[in-house]
Amino acid sequence: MEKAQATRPDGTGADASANKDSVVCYCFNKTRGDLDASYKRCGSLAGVQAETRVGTNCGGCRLLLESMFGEAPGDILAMRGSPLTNSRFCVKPGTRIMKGFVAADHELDTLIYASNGVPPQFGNQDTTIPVEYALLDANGRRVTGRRFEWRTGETFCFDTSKVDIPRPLYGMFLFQIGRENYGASRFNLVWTNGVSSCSTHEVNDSGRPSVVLPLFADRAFLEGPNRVFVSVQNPHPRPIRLLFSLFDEANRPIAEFPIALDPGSTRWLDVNREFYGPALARAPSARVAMRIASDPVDVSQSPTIYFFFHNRNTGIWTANHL
Amino acid sequence: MIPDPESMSMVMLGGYLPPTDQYSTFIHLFPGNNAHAPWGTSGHFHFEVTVYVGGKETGRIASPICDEKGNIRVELNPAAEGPGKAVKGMFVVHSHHAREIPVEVYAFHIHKATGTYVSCNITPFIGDQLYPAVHSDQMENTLFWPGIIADQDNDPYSILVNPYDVAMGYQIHLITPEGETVHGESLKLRPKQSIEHSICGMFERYEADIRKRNGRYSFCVSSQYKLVTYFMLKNKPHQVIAMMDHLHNFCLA
Repeated sequence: MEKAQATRPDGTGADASANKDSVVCYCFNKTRGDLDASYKRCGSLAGVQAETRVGTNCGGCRLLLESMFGEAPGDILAMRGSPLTNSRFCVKPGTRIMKGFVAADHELDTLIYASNGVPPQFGNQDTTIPVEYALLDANGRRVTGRRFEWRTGETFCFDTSKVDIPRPLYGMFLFQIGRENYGASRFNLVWTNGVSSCSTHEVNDSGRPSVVLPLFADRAFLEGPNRVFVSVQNPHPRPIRLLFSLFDEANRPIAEFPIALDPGSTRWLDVNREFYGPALARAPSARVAMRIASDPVDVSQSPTIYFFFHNRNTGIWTANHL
Repeated sequence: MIPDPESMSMVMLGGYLPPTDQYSTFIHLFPGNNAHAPWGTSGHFHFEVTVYVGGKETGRIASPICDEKGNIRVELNPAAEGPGKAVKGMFVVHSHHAREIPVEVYAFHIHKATGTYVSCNITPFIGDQLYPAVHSDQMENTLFWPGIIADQDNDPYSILVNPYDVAMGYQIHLITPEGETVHGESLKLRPKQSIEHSICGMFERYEADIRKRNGRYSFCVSSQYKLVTYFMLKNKPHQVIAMMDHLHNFCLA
């Protein structure tokens, strides 16, 4: 199904017209190669638009045109202010530190992947940047890490099964970039037991100081195949306190459990055993849900939270972020 | 209590409905999940879900109204299937929330045979009042997923949902561990339809290497306007969705 148009990010491959088959304008089916050729003939974006009509219908490609040819399409200024089309590229100069949860124990290992790829319509761009990563343990102490130059198009991988680290380890992975260009940034996490793998992306902090694990549990759930786990992390440079509150469907409080988190620290919690079980022991016929809130509730103290389901019958782990 | 429309905002979200004979799908909304600051019980939250199968609307569900202390759960399968039918499709959620406080919405898919839970964000495709430009600001018509998992137990898929009323053009691109880009065909997704693409099937010549170098390949989806896009892993031994998460833009916001 693929056109097998492999192009190298530095343009030095067999086909130097990098990404020429990447469609830019879907309305008129014009590729990057079509538009580059048109620009050579016309010498201006206005000329390209007159010749190919790109960017004159739905407008979805106008930002790309602006980037490709260094000038705004004729009517792009008129689009400013519209929440649907007002846009600028995601150039975000400056240092950023992304964070994610790492588990390395008797059952799970964690892999981290990031690609310094370039959006295909952009063609050749140098996206080399300095990167530093670090793995912190549950107490926020550095276990390992290094600095390197991340070259254009390179894939970064960190695999807990391939490094010498103490086990069990439940910690925080930090990935610091100095981004000044159009390259990719975000990393994904994969948790695997060798048979089942699940994946989601880094979360700097939730930005939400009070969240509910979107699930009600009752006795039948506890006796069923699913175990629920959460990782909670403090991504801030100061200590935070979290309050785990169990409540029923009528929002009546059942139990509360405070937890303190030092900067950079992580807690890996068995929700069935530590929260649902004790709450259902107090209210056996209830269906209970769990809120995780900073105490006091304050957006500047939002934790980073991932939640996991483990199915005992199949061995399958699934995960997401809150 | 009927909320005052002047105090409400609305955001549109889209999601994928997996096969109804295999999965029970529901949305469970806890409005308190987006509390940017402590706030009381003055807000009202509700949503309407429209389910589409094969591009045709099969049902609409209007949720009850609740405030920040409440929650709303809505089952989607009844709106998708007629008696005895097993289908898959997509849904659009019009989520009404207290002014300037949009809510994170999760769908759960429970595999009927094994009881496996998979949760998945339902993603916005049009800006909201709190972040009016965020979904267009970051060139979200090119979305990215680093780390394609593909091994003997897991098959990778890309799921696309077109929540619009017109067909949308799109292209899937494979990015090799060395940063080379392999372009898939330019395709169109009809209005209100979803599609699963096997990544190994789409890039057949690369399948052996994708599996051999498990996780080192990445992919992205470029489209006319932002489509709702997911990366999905299917566990082969149990034929169960093991994860499904939304693609993200290349850079951090």
